[in-house]
Amino acid sequence: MNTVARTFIAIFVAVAVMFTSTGVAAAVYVAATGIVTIEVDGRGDDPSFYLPVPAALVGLGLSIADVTMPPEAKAEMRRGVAEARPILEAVSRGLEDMPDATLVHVETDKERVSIAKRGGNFEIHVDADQGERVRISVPVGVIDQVTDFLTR
Amino acid sequence: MNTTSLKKNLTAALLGLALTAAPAFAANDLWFHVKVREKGGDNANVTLNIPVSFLQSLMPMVTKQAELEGGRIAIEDKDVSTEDLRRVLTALKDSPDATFAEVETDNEKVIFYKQGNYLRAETTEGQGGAEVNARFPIAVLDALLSGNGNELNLEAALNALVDHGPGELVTIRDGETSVRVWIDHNAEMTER
Repeated sequence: MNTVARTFIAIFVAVAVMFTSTGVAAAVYVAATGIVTIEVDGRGDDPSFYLPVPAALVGLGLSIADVTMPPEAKAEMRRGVAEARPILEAVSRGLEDMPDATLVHVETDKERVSIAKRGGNFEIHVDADQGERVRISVPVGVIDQVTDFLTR
Repeated sequence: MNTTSLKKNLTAALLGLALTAAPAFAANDLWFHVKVREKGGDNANVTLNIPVSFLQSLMPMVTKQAELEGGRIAIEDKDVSTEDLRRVLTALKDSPDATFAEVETDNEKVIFYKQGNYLRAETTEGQGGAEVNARFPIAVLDALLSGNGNELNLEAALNALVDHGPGELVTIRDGETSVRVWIDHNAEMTER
């Protein structure tokens, strides 16, 4: 093998290692921060979709909004939630410390709604009698980030 | 390091981890439960399971709100001050077990009585009517009325409830609807 071939192989290996390690680091980060998922099964005419969003992206979005949002709009939004700030912060802290449990469960002949904390996620499940269902799962850390953004 | 030593260290490490992890929820392993069952209509069943520690963390805000309203309790359009209630409770605390009030009409019977460390209220309406059974630990009521002036001390009341531990608080049966409020150590509600 000549020097040029060896150089190409070295560059190829370096790029491969760089991409692999970046991918692994990104996967570890996404796994650590969690994923926001929204799943809607409309059964029929209503739309169905599954939307997974890495929580890290939500954090990034909030950071961008914090920088790009007009200061007046930001101040007005925060004034609007100022009164609810202590309760939002307490709820956010409380959810973090809380063990897994179904917090609210409402069941009628037509539908079932449950709000629970499971494995570090805040989950909302809705099941209607025709088979329609909604599943929302939000890592508790995201709620903390949103609360922080709204009340900072 | 030999196997025995390794096992000892591992056990100590696990024990340490358990002890450091536990306090986040240890003092607070009490859960406040509300169960509402409705027969007829949509047959709605509602259950709430809330950690008492979570309620405790919200208490400073609720107390602040209660203070804004002057700590007065409205009973059928007549305001009763916490001072009045404090006087009644002091008299109740020092008295032996007894029925303090019993009102009976054609359709309804209401009894207030003291039983041990509890103040109990029971009402029964005529056939198929509402049946209310409430049991309040006197220590909790005492803590609730421990605020200054006309203030209700909700925070102290909840702490007293934690000290009191698990137990039934209120059950209501009204024909097709039943409500049960209680505290226990189970995160998920156990059917009854």
